[in-house]
Amino acid sequence: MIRIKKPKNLRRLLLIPLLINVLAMAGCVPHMQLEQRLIIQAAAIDYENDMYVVTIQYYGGESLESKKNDPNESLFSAVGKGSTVSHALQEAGSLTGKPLFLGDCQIFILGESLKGKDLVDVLDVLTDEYEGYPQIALAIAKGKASDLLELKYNDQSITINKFDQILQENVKNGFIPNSELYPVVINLSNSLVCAYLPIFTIVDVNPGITEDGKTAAILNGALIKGGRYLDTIERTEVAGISFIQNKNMTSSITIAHNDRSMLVNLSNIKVRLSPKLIGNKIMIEVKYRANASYSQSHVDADVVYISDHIETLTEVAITERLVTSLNKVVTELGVDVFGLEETIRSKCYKGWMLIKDNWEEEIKNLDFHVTGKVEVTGYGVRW
Amino acid sequence: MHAKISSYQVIAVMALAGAFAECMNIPNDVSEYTMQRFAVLIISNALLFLLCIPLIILSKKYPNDNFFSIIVQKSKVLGWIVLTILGLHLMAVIVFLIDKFEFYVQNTIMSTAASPVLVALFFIAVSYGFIKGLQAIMRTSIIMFYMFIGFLLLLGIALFIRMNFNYFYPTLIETPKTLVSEIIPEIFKKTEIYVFLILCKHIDKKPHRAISLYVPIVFSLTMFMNFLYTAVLGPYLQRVSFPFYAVSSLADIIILDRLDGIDLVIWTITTVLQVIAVLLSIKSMLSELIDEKKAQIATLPIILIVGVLSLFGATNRSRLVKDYSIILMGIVFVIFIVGMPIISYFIKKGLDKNDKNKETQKPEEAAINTAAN
Repeated sequence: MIRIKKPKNLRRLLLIPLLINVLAMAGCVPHMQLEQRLIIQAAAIDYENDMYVVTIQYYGGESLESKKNDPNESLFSAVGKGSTVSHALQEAGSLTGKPLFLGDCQIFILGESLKGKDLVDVLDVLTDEYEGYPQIALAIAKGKASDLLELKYNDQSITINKFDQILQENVKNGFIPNSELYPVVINLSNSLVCAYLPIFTIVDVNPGITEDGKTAAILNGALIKGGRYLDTIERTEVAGISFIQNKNMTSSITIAHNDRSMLVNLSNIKVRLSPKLIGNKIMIEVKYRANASYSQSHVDADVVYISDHIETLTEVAITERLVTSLNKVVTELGVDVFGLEETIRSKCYKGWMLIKDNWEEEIKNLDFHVTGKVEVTGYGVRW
Repeated sequence: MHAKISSYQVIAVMALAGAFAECMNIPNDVSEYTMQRFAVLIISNALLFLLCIPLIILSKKYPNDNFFSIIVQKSKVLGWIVLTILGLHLMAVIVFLIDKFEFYVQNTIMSTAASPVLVALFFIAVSYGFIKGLQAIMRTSIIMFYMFIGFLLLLGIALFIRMNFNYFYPTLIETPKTLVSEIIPEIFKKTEIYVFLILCKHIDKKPHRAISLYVPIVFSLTMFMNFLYTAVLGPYLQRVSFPFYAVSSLADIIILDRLDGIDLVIWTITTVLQVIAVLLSIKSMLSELIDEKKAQIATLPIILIVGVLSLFGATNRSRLVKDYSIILMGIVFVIFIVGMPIISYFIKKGLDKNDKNKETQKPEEAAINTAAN
């Protein structure tokens, strides 16, 4: 039996196995280097002949030097087919002989052929199976999703980064709401399982921009209801959703002033939805506030008068945008992308109890009253 | 344990452990993550505070004693009986803690790590900390506490833009049935209170303050975390395995994106601290019955036994939860946290009365003896 004289000696004794274990830890715990994994950058999902077809773009493990010369050269593609998205992804991955890694995926594009399919199941692959990066951009492609990945830009930028830039610019200008993975799955958790996704359309442009004179643009948006792609809405209606969801606080709107189009930039946007129970009906008051700034090509004598006029014109334009959006999305299609369920439950619980059992139909009967105030805080002359 | 630890050190360490346990909660197993969670937290913490009142009164009245030392003063045999029951329970608590730790590690970044390796490494760290003693452990963990608070505040600021306050709708009115079944486990799972029960003797200056401040502090931290979960994730919260990890990855701060590594480090350290604190409690009780050095050596086989039990538990998670259910923990909780402080308070009062009587009797006896002489 070892006799321990002092606790101090014991401390030193215990340090030895501790150090050995720390050193041996890397060998004990099976681990995998990043270069040994299939780091997927983008995935496009289509549905053909009763099968999911997944096209993935991934880094081929080249050195950073080769990326610097032509970034697109270090990206490779693989296609997999399967009865589920998960199987199709696995098949695409198995062709490369590496385990899939979606933690760095930039964009997930769903083809138009998925219309009618349960998109929640598709997104579950990302959220539950592969722990995808929560800020992956999600979008729908008009036509085949895989066609989008084939676009090649002449400015040496990676195609998927270009898509990300297009999305971000649109979000910043208030044309579309945020369509990252987590905001979308959070929206899909409401009882009507509704969400919005932007639609990428391939359009013809100046041949200098891309190799084949085609680029991707967001011309409209897709509404999801019951977890399924329901309908397409116009760009102005999408902008209304973005304004009310109001997560980015900035937007822009075009008004007609002196027979000319003028772009008004909006900032510090605040939108408040206040439901009220009037009789047996719920009326939602939509109140907004925003700061506006504009520039014009000539100097006006009375700046104050012009600003007042522009404030009024902007208010009319915003109100019209919101009314159009609410009429189409809520009254016509019965889709809740504005967070109406939680707003009514939170602020008008009595009203919610009246309509909750028939919410899917009752949402179409909601009344909206839109009012707002715009304040011009900046103006200038464009030379 | 030569020098005493400060009450703030104990609060910080225990609050860190309590708050981090909340971070790593597994919603489907433990709690319903809805708006009801706020009601559950408010009611359970209020009840917990009420249950701790006897313990607070005992430590205020007798700051240099704990319930166990009072029982030993009364009878050593009774002391051994209490030590056996509470010791076995505390050992089960350790196995429970390690099991949760192992489950979390294997479900986050070390999915292929072998359980024996994890448990063995863990116990080597625990043994080292145990030998180092309470004072060193408390000092180290203060740093972790400030780090954790810093992260939490940073997270709150970073997530502000993603918050939707409309998610705070009154679901309590819609689902009141599950309220009681959620409140009871919420109280009984506060196993760290046992540490206060025994270690209050080693706390320097006003030990009752540590206990009375601990519950409100942990309550505030858990409320803040639940506020973040609900405001950011809304109804999606019920589908998320680790809500703290989910909201952290949504923050636009790069360091928080990679929180899986950082929180694993904090989680490991807090679990190590909790286990050491429980082991030191067992040692503290032993040292009331045998001398300090022997108590130290006698605790080492206990560490070994718990290590072996943890290995067994790590492979049978569901069975372990079934075998040592929260209800059984609740019975022990009520007996020791509520019952024992009340009983020992009256025992101590009785002992003090006897001492006083003896002291008053002594001069009288002396007077009688001198008179007889």
